[in-house]
Amino acid sequence: MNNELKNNSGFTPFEFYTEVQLDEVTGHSVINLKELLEKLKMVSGSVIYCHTFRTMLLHHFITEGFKNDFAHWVIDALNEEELGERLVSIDLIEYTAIRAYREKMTQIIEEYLARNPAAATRNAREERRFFFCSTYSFVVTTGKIAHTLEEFANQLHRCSNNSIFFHFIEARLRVGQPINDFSIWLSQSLGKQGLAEKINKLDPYIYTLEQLKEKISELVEQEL
Amino acid sequence: MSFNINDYKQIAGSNEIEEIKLVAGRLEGVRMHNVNSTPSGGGVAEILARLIPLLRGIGIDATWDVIRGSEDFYQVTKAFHNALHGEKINLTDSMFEIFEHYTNLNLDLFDKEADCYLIHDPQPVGLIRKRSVSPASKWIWRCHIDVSRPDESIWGFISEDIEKYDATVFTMPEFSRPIPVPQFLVTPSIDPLADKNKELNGKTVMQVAEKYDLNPERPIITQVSRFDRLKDPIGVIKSYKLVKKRMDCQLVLAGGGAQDDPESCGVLDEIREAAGDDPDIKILELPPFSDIEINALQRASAIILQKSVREGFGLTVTEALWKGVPVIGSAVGGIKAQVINGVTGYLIYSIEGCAHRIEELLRDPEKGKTMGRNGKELVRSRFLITRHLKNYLLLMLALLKTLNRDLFERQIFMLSA
Repeated sequence: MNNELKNNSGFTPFEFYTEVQLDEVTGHSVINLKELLEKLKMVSGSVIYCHTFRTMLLHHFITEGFKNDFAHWVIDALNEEELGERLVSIDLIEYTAIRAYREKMTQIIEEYLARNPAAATRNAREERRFFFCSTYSFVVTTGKIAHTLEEFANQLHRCSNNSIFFHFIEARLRVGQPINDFSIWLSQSLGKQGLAEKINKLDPYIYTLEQLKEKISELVEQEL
Repeated sequence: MSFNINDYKQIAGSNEIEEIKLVAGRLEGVRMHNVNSTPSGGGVAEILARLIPLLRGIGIDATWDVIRGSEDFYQVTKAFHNALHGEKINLTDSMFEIFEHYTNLNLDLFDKEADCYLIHDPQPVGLIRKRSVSPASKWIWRCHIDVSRPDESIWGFISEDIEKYDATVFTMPEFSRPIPVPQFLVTPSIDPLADKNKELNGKTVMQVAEKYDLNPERPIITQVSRFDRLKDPIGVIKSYKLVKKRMDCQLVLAGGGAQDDPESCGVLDEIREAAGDDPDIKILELPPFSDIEINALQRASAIILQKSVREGFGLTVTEALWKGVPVIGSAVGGIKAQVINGVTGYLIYSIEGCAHRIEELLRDPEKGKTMGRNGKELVRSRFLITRHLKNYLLLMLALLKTLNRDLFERQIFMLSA
């Protein structure tokens, strides 16, 4: 399956997948930065994913950078604006592994606590405790397949936001490189390096997922 | 009322419906049996009445039964319910005996074979003792209430059964408890096609506003809730009065009739006293089946308040956001999952904070409109009945199919064609 998901590339048709998700309660919760730091180091990758990448998907209709539950909790419940800003500014799509993203977050919190030790045990109100959840991801083949650029354009129009997220943003975690599934296929299978690069340069933070789909479609249609 | 999944395409999006069908395709013919304690009245029965036909329409053999009980049993389960919520209740041996008596009675009657059982809330929790009916089946306990701070004697009693389940489902992470059974998260939902939430034309909204002597040209602030101190109606009036010193507005407190509830009557008296003779405060005791009127009042409002001291999920907040109205709500319970501070409304902690945020939105209606749009999209993607349906399908998939794989540092299940 690893290869099945990774190899949406090469000289093969493009198969559109989508991803649906269910959350699990982990039983872990924290009330201050010291506890947050400890838990961030020990929870599973599915927990980190749930509160970062998945948050970005859930808030796909807002272009105000909702991509990190931890950062928002730090700002909103702990009133640690500076730390929150630093956490929220970690560029999610630069990361190609959850491990690296987790390390960056813990490094930022550790640096902040070294400068502001009193902040470590400053508690949020009890009702603003942070609860960790974990995401189960179910990847589904949609039956949408493209052999040509024209077919790709047609299928893209019918794609869900979940599918765009899966292929354009989350792809980096699967591929292990800062590139998306569409660009890989367009480049490797159709030889459209220029188009692939233009698509890969689209900034997902300034668009909703719906707008992102439109932008990709526009670029594809210009090539037709 | 519509029970066809395709009717939700226009609202939830055709892709959402397509994804539901893709997942349902992996569960075709699966027998899913639901059991709760009441056929009507209350949120659980309301959502099951809608979900069961939708599940059946997408190929799931979904069924629903109600356990048997009599007056004494329901008095006991009400006491248990309150004790699970953390209220100090004098729980007697005879209460536990009555509960066991009816559990055994229902176990004798229970012979439904299924692949997956979804047992709702504490009343039928003991049915797990009959899992030998379908040994290979999966049993899920769906808890709709907050059991995070229960009376320990009642929790100890029911947890003996809960721990026999294959999985549990909670509404909010903070409503759960440490138990040695996987706990999934499924938030409640609203039906966008139900009378309480469906689109209304401007004329209907206007007529309802006029019926209650409200001026639609002036800002209306509304809290829809039963008349209960936990909803802090007096705090709402105090916030309104602070705002009213500087700005023009009208306040609506709308709730169910209180004729049969002595406690509500007392609260209503307090509310009337706090309101005084201000003609711009409308206290509306709405009869049952006032869904269209509540819908219209929410749509007529510039701001919806939910100033609860304690809250479950707060579906009145969901309803308001779905109508594109910004919500100012206390940072308690499920309100926190719906009111994204500064995005879909404001979270508040005090009467003064509430007044401050009301003023802010009244002075800047465009900000309120943007928050309203955000709120509607939040509900569209997270709190509609279609998402609820999808969650139940995924829950069954996770338990019934052997799919578990750790990939890319995560739990990923691959569903092949």
